[in-house]
Amino acid sequence: MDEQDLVDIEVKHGDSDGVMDSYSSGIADFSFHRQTVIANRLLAGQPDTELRSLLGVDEDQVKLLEHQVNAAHRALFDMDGKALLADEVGLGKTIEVGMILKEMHYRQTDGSVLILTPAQLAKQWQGELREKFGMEFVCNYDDEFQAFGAHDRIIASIDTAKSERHMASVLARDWDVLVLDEAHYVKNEETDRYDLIKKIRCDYAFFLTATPIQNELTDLYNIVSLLRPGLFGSRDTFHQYFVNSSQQTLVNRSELQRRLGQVMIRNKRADTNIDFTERIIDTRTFEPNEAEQELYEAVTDYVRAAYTEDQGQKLVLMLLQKEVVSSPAALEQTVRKKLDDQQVITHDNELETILDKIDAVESVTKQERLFDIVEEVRERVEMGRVIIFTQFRATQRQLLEALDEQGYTTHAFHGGHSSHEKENIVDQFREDGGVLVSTDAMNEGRNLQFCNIMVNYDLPWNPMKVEQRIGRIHRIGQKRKVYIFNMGLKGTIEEYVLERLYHKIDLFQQTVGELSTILTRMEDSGKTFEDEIFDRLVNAGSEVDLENDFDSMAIDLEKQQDLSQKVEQFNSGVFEGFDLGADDD
Amino acid sequence: MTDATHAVTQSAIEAIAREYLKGLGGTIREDGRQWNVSLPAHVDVEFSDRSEFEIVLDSEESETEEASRLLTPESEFTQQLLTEAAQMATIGEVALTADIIDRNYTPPSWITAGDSEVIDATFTPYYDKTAICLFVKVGVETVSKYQTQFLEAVAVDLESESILPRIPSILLSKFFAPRNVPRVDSSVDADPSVSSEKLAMVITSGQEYAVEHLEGDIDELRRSASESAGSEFEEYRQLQEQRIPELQNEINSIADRIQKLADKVDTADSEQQRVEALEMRSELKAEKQQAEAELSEILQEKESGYSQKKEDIYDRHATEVTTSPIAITFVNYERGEAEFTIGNGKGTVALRAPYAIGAGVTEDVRCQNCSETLSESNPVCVTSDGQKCQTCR
Repeated sequence: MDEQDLVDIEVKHGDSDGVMDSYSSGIADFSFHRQTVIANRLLAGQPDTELRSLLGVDEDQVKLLEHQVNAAHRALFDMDGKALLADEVGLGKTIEVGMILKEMHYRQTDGSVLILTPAQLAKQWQGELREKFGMEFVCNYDDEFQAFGAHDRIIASIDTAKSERHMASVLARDWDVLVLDEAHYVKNEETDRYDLIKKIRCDYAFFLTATPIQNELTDLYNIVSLLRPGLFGSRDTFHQYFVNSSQQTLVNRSELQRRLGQVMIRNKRADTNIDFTERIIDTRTFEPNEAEQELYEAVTDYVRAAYTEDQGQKLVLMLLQKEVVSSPAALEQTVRKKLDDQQVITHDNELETILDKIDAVESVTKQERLFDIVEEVRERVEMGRVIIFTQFRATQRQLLEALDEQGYTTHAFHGGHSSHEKENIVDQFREDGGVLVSTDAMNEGRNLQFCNIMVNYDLPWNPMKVEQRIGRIHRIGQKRKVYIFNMGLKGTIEEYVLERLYHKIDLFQQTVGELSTILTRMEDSGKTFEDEIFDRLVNAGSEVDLENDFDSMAIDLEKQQDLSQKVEQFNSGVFEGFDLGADDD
Repeated sequence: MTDATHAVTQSAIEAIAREYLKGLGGTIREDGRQWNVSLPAHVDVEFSDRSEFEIVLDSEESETEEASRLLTPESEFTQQLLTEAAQMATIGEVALTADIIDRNYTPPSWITAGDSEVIDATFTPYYDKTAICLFVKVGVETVSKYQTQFLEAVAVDLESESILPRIPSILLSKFFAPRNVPRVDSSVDADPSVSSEKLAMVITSGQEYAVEHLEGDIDELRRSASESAGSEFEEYRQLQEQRIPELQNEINSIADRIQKLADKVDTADSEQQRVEALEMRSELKAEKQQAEAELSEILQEKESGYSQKKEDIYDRHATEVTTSPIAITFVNYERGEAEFTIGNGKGTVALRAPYAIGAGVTEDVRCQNCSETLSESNPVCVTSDGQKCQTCR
């Protein structure tokens, strides 16, 4: 910067009257003078910048990594609580924010916190903050959620927050902390989302994204300007000074790094010690026996017909379709309940037929083949503890019974246990070994690194749930290879989901975080992944149609995955050579 | 010159609070994370109107005990207590002796830069000297970054007015560390006798030194203020540039409307219509004049590079550095002679040098062999013939 561009500087030496007066009254006793000097040292000192809340973090629930602690520290103390956390995918940005919020809570500076996320991730955020940091937030999808003015700690989808119904109440208050996940979605200054974030009043703000730049370098300007207006000067100045004419690269890089370093933290995978062990995927599909095949067809026909007549019962129909491939026991329970509940009797004949067909299933193929898998891996893998996941309690009960009969040591884990009981179950499993059969309630914050074999007995239609299941055993701290077995019945929806969707995006091999970037890219369609699957199933006119529909969904997914990888690579290129990671000080 | 700030840790504030309350004659009964404090009846403190009160050390517990005072780094009570203590005794005195520094005498660079090691060091005090250690608060204020505070400690010899750079850090660690009450007797036999005029003069030079020492930090703040000013000016400039075509369009459009009204005046059917058109035309003319005046003003500004606005903005962002002396410690330090015994594989030699506790070797020393002045670039060497230097070796 040239001398003429610098503001004037004026030095004023204050008079010494105060100390001179004290001098004329004599020299004080040393102990009092010592206290005076120390008090002055502390008054002028920076508040303690240790992350004092770390002692309160349960290491069993979350393993804090050095780069995460550094990032939280810098965001809080070096960046005055306004930071863009832009680590590469999979390095734990959510954990960094968790630490920041925990520390702010400890220091009582978090009176009101608003976390805005893409819709699909809101509940996941809520779960992670609860499990890993013991912090309770209300989510806009919870029944207890009333309004943005009614709670102090809220996790909400950004689109809910900007909706006509809620926007005024979001803007009506002063928030202490604003967290914005996937911040690249506010890159465009002409959108409602951008407008909302710009108008929210808050003391501290933390934005998260692995890819601050989506299309063009102006995206970076827009996001950073929301956090630190004026850091890059005006839009034109930014363009003239930092962006080359082709819009592809940044220039004046050292000055840009200096300014970005005041607000942005970007850890790179290569600079961290994160090292995951190998993950071995074994997907096995089996021919259903005749009775199972008939049962599957009857249920699918029923679901299609019932949905065509009344789309309002979508959830229960979706449930039936998932249960039929999990176990006849799970299906039976729901069918009976539906028959009992039905006020207006419709399709009762079909439901009765389904019950007959359930009775006709004498042997359950998946269950029989499960024994093969369990036996095989326990022979092959040392200390072979096995965790089997199913979505349904009825399936769980049946599996436990069957495994008990075969003489296995078994453990059951489901949402009905108290948290103390859950802890005991995990301890028992760790000590006694054997087979743990769990519902997805296990997602709630249990780490099972001591186990390295997982069986997906049935598969959630929400890939985030699959990622969470895998995350229970394949996480930092797992020292052995991880084996994941997926089971499916051939010719069923399960096979489509497994083979055509999940394998297409390499779901089972993805690092944590990758999936959310793909899914949030799809979110603009307004439909959840489960809806997409169900709609294809019920609307397909023929087997061929169904195959084609799933193929086109897979192509979409691959496209999004490809795009998200390209954007990731582009960002890596743009920030190549920038040191925005751990502080050297 | 030394940064005298101390990180506000929980243990530091607990230590100073304990010392301060006991110094007031109070007693503290510590019960886990709670203190029950009792002060003598005659003691008057700002932070409590009762002589018996509780202090809680944990923010988690404080939520249940409204009446308690919370002693944590950011709490209001901590600020009150520190503010009171900070004004209590701004002038003090210490003696800096060989014992204070545990007889660890600092060898000069002309020894450490050579290949010999210090085997032994002794010190013989001859007389006492007096310096002041001045604690100066330095504030740097800009519009964009409200205020940045520094606390600098500067030691100045009262007689020679020379700066004694090592003394502040010794004082801070040996006398003024929150959890480290001095082990040795720090009392001084006689109070310093220095005239007010002399003291005031030395204080002023201490303030100037403090600012010099902070030059790097101040420059950084000035640069950041300049960036803010630059971007504010740039935004203003762009706004004006946008305004120019807007005003030109506005003027053209008013001119069109005036022309249309002129036609209307000529072709008016009635007197009333003509009067209305004339009134309207006169209003529009005034509006046009106003827009033209605004445009002309902007164009003039543009011609000068918006210099006036730029000056205004840069003035507003100007950096102001203020200093204020807040405490003084008189330091009695011993001067005398140090003897360093140094050696390497070839032999040992003893070297004597004028020395002051806290200041180190105070005068130049020459090579006994060639009389060249010893320095970091001309260190002393031990040879089989005795002492030499780099030059005569």
